[in-house]
Amino acid sequence: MGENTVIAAGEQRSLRVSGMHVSVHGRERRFFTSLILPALVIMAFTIGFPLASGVRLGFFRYFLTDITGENRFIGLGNFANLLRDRAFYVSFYRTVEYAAGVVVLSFIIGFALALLLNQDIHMRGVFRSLFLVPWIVPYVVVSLLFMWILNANYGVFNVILSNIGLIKHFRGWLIEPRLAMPSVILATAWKTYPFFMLMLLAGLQTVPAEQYEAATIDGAGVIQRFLYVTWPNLREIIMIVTLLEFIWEFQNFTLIWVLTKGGPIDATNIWPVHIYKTAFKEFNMGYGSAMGVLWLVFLLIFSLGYIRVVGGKEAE
Amino acid sequence: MAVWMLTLARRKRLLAKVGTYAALVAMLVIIYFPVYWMVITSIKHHNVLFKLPPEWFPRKPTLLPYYNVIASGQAEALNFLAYFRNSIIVSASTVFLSIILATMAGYAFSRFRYAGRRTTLTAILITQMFPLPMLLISFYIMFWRLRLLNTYTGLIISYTSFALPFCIWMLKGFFDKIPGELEEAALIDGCSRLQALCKVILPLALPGVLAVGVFSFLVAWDEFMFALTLMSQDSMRTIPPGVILSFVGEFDIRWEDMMAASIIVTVPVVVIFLGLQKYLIQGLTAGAVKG
Repeated sequence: MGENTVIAAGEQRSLRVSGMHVSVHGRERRFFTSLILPALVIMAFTIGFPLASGVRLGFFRYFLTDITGENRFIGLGNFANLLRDRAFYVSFYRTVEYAAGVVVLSFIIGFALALLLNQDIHMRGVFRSLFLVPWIVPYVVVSLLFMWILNANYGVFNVILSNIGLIKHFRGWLIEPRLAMPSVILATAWKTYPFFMLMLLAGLQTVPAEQYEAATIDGAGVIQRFLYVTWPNLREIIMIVTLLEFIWEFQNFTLIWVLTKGGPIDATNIWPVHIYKTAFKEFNMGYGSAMGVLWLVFLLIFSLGYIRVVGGKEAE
Repeated sequence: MAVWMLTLARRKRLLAKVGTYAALVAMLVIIYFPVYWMVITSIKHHNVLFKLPPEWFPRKPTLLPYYNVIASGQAEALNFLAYFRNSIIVSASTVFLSIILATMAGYAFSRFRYAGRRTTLTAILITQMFPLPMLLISFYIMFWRLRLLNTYTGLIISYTSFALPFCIWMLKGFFDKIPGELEEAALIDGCSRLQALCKVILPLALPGVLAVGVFSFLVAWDEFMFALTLMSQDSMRTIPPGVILSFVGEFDIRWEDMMAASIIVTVPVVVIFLGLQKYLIQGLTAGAVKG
């Protein structure tokens, strides 16, 4: 990953510092340790400990409502049940569908805008700021806004689509099972594309101009310049941002909770919503935690595989 | 021939430029339409809301929805001002804590070499992968035992820990760019390590510190799931769950009030962001992409 190069550069510089001061004196060591410690302690308390106790809970029959003391260790019981649970598989499929849909759609929009903004234009900063704004609009607001826009009876989305002749009758974007997933993906992408735009634009601006010039002299057209100069230079950034976004979309709860609550008929029942309902509506916290364990395992395997496959090409 | 070619090339370039602007403006119109619709809806009277075709521009604009939202304790029992106050308290504290903790840790990670440093840094980043609903279950049980449900402290601790990993990485990126010679010089001049950090390094890292502040503010202002679950008492709710619970699920949704509330929630973040975006962008692109 890209960290290697940067860290290497930083390493050289501060090796001298560390050689001179840090590793020599215990006092220096104590100083640095005391700087790191508070953050680590807080994170251990709020991420490490809950994670460990969540994993542990996955092996328990644990109902919050249970006052009879029935909560007990059941080994792999939850996991065995999960593997037989059709709803679990369906919601896994929905999660991947949702995360992949958002990544693809916002990548396309974000990349297109980054390429446009990378041209030699006036007021690039102004355009960039304007295109960034949806990214900071709170999820709650995005949810409410699209709830109103996509409304089956009065939604302006229906009005516009029927005005330009794309649909004959108003559709229930959030209440028809086949439309719900594309609708929530669209709403999410509206908020997430700026992240891609920002990162890809930053990447584009680091591509050396000489490479384009050389390619042009060699007779490369626009498409060839894109394939042989732009793409290879951006591959690493693309890998990191798509991976990050995919992982983040696994966490996306607000929008779907507000817009569809996982419905209609489980059409948008992604893991965060499914686990939330299991844990806080059915109070089956052990089962919910077990799902969380599988989620973590999946993302770890997926990330490692993804980095290997996409990043591996670098070595060729 | 040569002159003709020159003008052709120039014309082509001009055309490409016009095309770029046209495409940008078209994208702006499409992307901003929802924002436009939010604003327009928020200044409509309830009785024209469901007209078809809709009023693309309201004939009789009104500020009544804003009044309904802000004048809390009205018929809708919308405690908006209380939510707003809670959100401010929680977000401001999160920003404060994130800045202090991330500055300390980011600086130390940038300068201090020890065995296992890379592992710690990677571990910090991997926390982004941890399933939040699963953490929430543990949090709920933990806070229930510690009597931290329905307290600011619980949410502030949660949000700080969400924001910290990214903040530490961003600030480490900033500190990496500040030459170590600066501290060496300060140390030789008789400063202590802490003095060198506060007097020499921190002023240079200020953009990074601001980036961390904006980032953690956005995290805290936007969070919904933890706020919904850990604050069950209405008077303790932050804006996201407060607003959602007040509007969604009602039989007769007052869309115009909902949009007014949405705008009031959005304005602070947009103002903060537009003012400080330079730093945030610097922090994200330097710390995240290259880090």
